[in-house]
Amino acid sequence: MNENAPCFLFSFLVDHHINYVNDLMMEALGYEDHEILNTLRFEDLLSGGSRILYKTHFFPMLLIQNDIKEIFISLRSKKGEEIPVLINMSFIKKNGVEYVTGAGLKMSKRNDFEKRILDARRDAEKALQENELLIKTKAQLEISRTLLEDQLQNQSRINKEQIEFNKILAHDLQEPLHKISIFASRLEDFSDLKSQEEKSRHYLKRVLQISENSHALVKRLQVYHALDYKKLHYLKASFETILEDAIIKTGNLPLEIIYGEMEMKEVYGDIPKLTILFSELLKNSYQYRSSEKSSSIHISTSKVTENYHQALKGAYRYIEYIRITFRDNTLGFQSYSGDDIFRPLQNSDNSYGKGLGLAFCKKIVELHKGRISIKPEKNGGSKFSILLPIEVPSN
Amino acid sequence: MNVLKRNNVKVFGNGKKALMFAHGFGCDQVMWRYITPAFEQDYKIVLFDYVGCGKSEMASYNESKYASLQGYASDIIEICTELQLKDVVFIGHSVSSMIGVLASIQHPELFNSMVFVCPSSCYINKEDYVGGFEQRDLEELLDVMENNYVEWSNYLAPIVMKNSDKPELTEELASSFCSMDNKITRSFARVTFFSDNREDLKKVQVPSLILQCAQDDIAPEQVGKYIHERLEDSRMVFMQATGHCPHMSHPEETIECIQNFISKELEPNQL
Repeated sequence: MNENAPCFLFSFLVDHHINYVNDLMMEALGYEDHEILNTLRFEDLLSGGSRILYKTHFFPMLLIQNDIKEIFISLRSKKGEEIPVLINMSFIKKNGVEYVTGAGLKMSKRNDFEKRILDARRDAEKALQENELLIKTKAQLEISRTLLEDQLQNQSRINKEQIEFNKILAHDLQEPLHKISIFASRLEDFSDLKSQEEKSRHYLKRVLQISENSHALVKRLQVYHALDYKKLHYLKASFETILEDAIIKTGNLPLEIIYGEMEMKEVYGDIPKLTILFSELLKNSYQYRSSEKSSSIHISTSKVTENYHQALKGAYRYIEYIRITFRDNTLGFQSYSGDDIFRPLQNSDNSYGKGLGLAFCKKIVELHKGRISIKPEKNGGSKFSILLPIEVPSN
Repeated sequence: MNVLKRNNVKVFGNGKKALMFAHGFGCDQVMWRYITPAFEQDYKIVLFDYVGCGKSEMASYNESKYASLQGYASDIIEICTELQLKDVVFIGHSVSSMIGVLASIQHPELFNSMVFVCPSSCYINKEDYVGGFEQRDLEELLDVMENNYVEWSNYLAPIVMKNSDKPELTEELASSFCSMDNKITRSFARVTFFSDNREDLKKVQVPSLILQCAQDDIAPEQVGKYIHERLEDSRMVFMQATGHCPHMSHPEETIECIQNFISKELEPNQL
């Protein structure tokens, strides 16, 4: 009965080995019984694309739902001809035996018609989609332009204010401090008065020290602040050169630099600023060094892909970045909560101006449209991750 | 945007340590249903559907985002961030292995370790690499998918019309767990099968386990070995299971492999 049924009938075991194929199907496939039965797996009868779809979609569906209906796949005959079929399959568990049965209808003619309908529909859909996309893009552009205008206006106001503010930092604040220290040191010079001198000398020393420290802090703040509105000059340099200069900039601190895997050997950026970035990182590592071991820094670079858009929600543009990993063997920080560590004067040990180092680093990285993060290392020390775009951002 | 709704995120289980299960191309989170019960008692289970699959929000599909596996990796990171997960054990099937690889390269600090079930770093044969497929096979896949969509669209139609007077039909549709949006799935297929992540393997910093099935022509043995050789801190287990979906066809063995990895390999380092 089955043998003469005007459709394809087949079954296979859970290990996919075929144990039954009816005559009509065997004839269409062009195999002999012994070539298929208990020898080939069901997927061996499928053409390449159908095999992927069967294994990623239909077989999992069979396992979950126990049957699948009206699926379309292409069988491949012994000669390599494609046989399009519409198939129903069921997963049967009976008397401890698990197997899959299926019935299929050959649909070569219908498939041709369908292909034509599909082609027509695809063209129509494409046109519609492009049109929709155009309208959507136009609307989005309008919104973006308004946003950009607002931001530009805002930016120019902030810039003016910043320059003003920087003048205050540079002169109005630094000058008086400078004068205080001058006067204090003069006072110190002629305090040979014998009686109250011990005490007054002490106070004078304090005044002198505080004013000098404040002076240094204000000066550093001003440099930090000025970073914001100075344009970056992009050049290429190798990491080794930058680090050599950075070490000199730290006053040749005794730090050993070990290079790990350097997938990227050069970086494109404002080299003097990147040198400051590394010298600040180095100074930071030295400041928190462990007394037990000599300070060493481990540096490696790699190429990674990340979304350029951080502020703009729903926007995606994946671009390539250099990731610089900077590991030290310091005592580490007490707390690594979020971004706090990069804020000005957060990790200050009360020595004036020192707590700006990591803030410098963050600002320089961000001016390069990059990102910096820190993570404690398992066996002590910190790991800084710096991402810098490989290409110069177009704006 | 609500990330948890977008990706139909489900969180359950009694433990604190998070196990995140990521489904492969073609299905959705339901494919983990034979696996998760074994871990519910001791772990926090996180399941989700990629946008365009299962019960995710189709409207959240963003062509430019999902034009590469990076976009799918961003979703993983966004889910971890939203749920404030840390030290996640990520378990990805098939294409999710490489999505996990990309996510861990971007944010290694989020992950404790990764389990790759039937991974492939590149499906297409290249000059000195056998992925298992030729370009032509994959073009054919896209064709067959489209043909199937014709049938499926017919029987997915009632859902749109909310045919509540035919409960048996609705039930059938509800159980059709591989429901998918044709256009999105086509582009997911393209992104999956045409991507080449071989260069990314050596950048992975978290320990990993590769589960290799026998007779899996989608992720053949030589591909598994290739990945194992290039992943720095990786182990490889050759399973008795055959095919491409051991978590569905051979759940016990799959559970055992994952448990061994988590308990023996990771417990000492405090998961």
